[in-house]
Amino acid sequence: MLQGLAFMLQANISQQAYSWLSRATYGVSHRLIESFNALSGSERERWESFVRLQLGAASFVDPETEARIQKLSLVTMGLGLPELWSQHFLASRKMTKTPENAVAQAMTAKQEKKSRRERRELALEPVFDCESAAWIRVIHSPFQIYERMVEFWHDHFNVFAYEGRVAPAFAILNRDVIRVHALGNFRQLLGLVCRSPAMLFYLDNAFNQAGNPNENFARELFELHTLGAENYLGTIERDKVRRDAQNRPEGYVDGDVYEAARAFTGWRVEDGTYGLSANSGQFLYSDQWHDRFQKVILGEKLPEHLPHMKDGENVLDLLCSHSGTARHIVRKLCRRFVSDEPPESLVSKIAALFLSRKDSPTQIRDTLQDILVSSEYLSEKAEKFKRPVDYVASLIRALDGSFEPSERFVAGVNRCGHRFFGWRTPDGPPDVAQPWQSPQSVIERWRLSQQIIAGQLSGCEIDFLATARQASTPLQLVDHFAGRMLGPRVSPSLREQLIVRAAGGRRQDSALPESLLRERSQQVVELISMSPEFQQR
Amino acid sequence: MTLRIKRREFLFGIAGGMSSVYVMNSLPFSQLAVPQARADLLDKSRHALVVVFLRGGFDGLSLICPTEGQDRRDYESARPHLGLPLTGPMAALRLDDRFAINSAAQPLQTLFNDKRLAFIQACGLPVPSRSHFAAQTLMELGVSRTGEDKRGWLTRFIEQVPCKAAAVGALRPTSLQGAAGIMAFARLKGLGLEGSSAQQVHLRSALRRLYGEAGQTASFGQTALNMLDDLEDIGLRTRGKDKSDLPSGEIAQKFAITAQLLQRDEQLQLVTLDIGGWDTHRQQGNIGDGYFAKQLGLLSRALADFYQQMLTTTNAWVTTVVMSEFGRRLKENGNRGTDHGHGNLMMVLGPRIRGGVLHGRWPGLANENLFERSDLAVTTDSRLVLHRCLQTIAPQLTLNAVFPRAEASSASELNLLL
Repeated sequence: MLQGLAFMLQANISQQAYSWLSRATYGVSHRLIESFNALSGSERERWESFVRLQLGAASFVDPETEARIQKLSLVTMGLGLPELWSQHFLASRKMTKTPENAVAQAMTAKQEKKSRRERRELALEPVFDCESAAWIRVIHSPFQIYERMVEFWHDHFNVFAYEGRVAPAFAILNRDVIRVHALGNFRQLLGLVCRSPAMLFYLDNAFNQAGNPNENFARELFELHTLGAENYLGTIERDKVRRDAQNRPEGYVDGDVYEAARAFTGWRVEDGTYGLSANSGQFLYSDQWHDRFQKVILGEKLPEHLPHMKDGENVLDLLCSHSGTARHIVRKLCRRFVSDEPPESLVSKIAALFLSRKDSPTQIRDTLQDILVSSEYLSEKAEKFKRPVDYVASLIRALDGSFEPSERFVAGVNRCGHRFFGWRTPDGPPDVAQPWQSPQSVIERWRLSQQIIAGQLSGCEIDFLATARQASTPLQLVDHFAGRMLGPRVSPSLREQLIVRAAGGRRQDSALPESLLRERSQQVVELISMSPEFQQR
Repeated sequence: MTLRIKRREFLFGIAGGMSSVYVMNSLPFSQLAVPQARADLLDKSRHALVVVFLRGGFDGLSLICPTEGQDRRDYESARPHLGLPLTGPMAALRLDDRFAINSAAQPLQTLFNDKRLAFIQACGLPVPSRSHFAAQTLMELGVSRTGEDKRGWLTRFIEQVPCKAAAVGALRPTSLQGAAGIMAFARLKGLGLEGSSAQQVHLRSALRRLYGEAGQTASFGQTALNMLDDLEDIGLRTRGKDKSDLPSGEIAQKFAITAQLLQRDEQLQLVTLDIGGWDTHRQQGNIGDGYFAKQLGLLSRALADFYQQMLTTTNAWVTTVVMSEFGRRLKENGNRGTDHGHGNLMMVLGPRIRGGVLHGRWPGLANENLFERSDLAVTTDSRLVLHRCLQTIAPQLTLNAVFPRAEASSASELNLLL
């Protein structure tokens, strides 16, 4: 086996610890290993300290990362909702109605296309900016586990953000809700998401009125955001639903969804429609639109004439205190960090803790910490297939690439079927391997990595010579890059193939001429990036 | 029918376990049922099935509406804004004595009149679900309850009748879950790896070894490598930009990709194609410039063009089935949209289909005939329709071979094939 063990030129870390770091982050960079190794104690103790430090930071704002974002001059980043709404959504609408456009007939097809593009760019600028910032953060931020949780909640509370009305409100959902509460309290996070204009528009609750209910939001609230489809009992009668130990209904049925839709009537947006003169894009509770009569939801009676918004808040309380919700959320967390089918024993154990902490301001942080130090997380069996974003980020991070997102880069990831904030249906992008293992998606990711390695994408560069500074023979090159990208354990057959590529007919243990170093490094990295091992995190 | 054995099929035969999708349909040519009516048109050597899934809950009641009697009165009172009109410039087009079709779907009316297109009324799951994701999963696994089987219905078919399948779209659909080696295409031109052919030969053979040795968990890599070979074999891999002769618009593009695959890959027999955007909770817009009318118009034209193209430019008899996870509620909601319902129509199109007929039993729209007093009831298990479609490829296929729990009770009524 000695032959299969790459000697690490720079990093000293076991394969096991490499995999712990890899699964919790967007990829193991040289800096990450250094910060891990700077901790004291055994690897296991260092890991526990690492998790505590990552999750317990006083602030998740890293000045260096923020400076990189500043450099991109994303003009919408600091704006509030009223400005974003008027300067982007409303302004883009006006572009269609300006007097100049009265002569639209005379516009050539090309001009019209251009003006349509300009309109779209203005309307969507807030989400394009969120997207660019997200890329900078996942690649450069030292608060890697926190950034993973931000992505987790965006997937969980999925909103397709590349749409005119949604885009400005989405920037607020991202900045002031998800990023602020990603490690906080679930009930609080849920409450804020449910009154965020982005979600209200996306799932139509902004148009949900008494007598004319729209049940889109209520259904997804039960099915996706809280109890989960596994607790949907279908269309059976409500009094036939079995009760659990606390005498609560074991799951929900359509009747609960219909009544919950009534509970959220009137939760809308100040958007200048339906006789409203105010047009700020902000949340608005409209008592005239609210259905004030009695409701029965999950076996609880909500009496008529409750105070403003109390019906909806009560529904959220009921959902958050249900053990089905705890299991659903915890199962998803375990799926993100442990494996596609996490052991039920782990889910049960952690779900009980999650529920017992339902009023704690650090409920999510503490739960995540429990998962990350569990024996199931640390087990060798735990393994995840990289989604396209993970894949590209881990490539750049492992090689200390310089990075700024470009249009071509984002389009390349999008071709793999993945884009920040770009999943259309409310279930969010899948978190299991199979859909991402579609050959189309795999070919696109391989090609993207080839383009990055060859330096074809502007803003994204890998300095192979600096990276391989201490390696000069084919053997050294292979062990250096394999160690950086995969950890110390590399399969003998991959290593053998890599050596063939690195040597290219020369001796594997004598120094390569300088003129060949870069090209050979690229060839080695290319094959590693496409190898079975590198597709896993 | 060409029995070309490619090098990787040979390799795969040795590796074992992966061969199913690369093996030709085991039926000899003489057993391929050729429809009498059209046999003179072209010398066709295989059957193929295209499965179109309309994601989000397609509103079948806005495609076909009742025109007569109490049904019509019930329809109009439940859909005061969304009901299809019977008069005026946007009047629904007549299909038979009792039903008419949305004027935006005029190409479908023509196909129906030419007896190429059949509708099956009131189809659905035997176990109702108004959840998109639960219903899509049940529908695509073709099971009665979750947990019954983790393989998709097309996967089970391929296991019974080995044939080559592909998915149009970046990700693989649940109907093919558990099947090894399924191709997936979101685009054709421009798809492939970077590098000169010499570099690629080296790279790909190195990858073949690595993925071959990595075993079952890495079979996705072998599939991707096979797909790269395939793209070359069928002459679709071109370098350079993705500016092909594809039409504009997602719907037309997906059908165009499907058409190119079926034209060029003479072994392909199953294609899945997903079209999203049918979850119309507000401002549905059934006629004129409305959202649904536009989507429906694009779908209808694409289906009609695809049918013609398949008839004249491939060596395959192509059947196309169009389905969705559920229908939408009879009563429109407060936002001129519709919420999740139950029963829905299905469409089947092809030279082997007994077209020009509204198959299935129409359950009626009177309150007592609706499912839970709100949705069109289900009178035909969707799986019976899918089974008939599969029989175009494998005439001897029994219902339970692919849908173990489906009950054939009403199957005899479903006289869908010529």
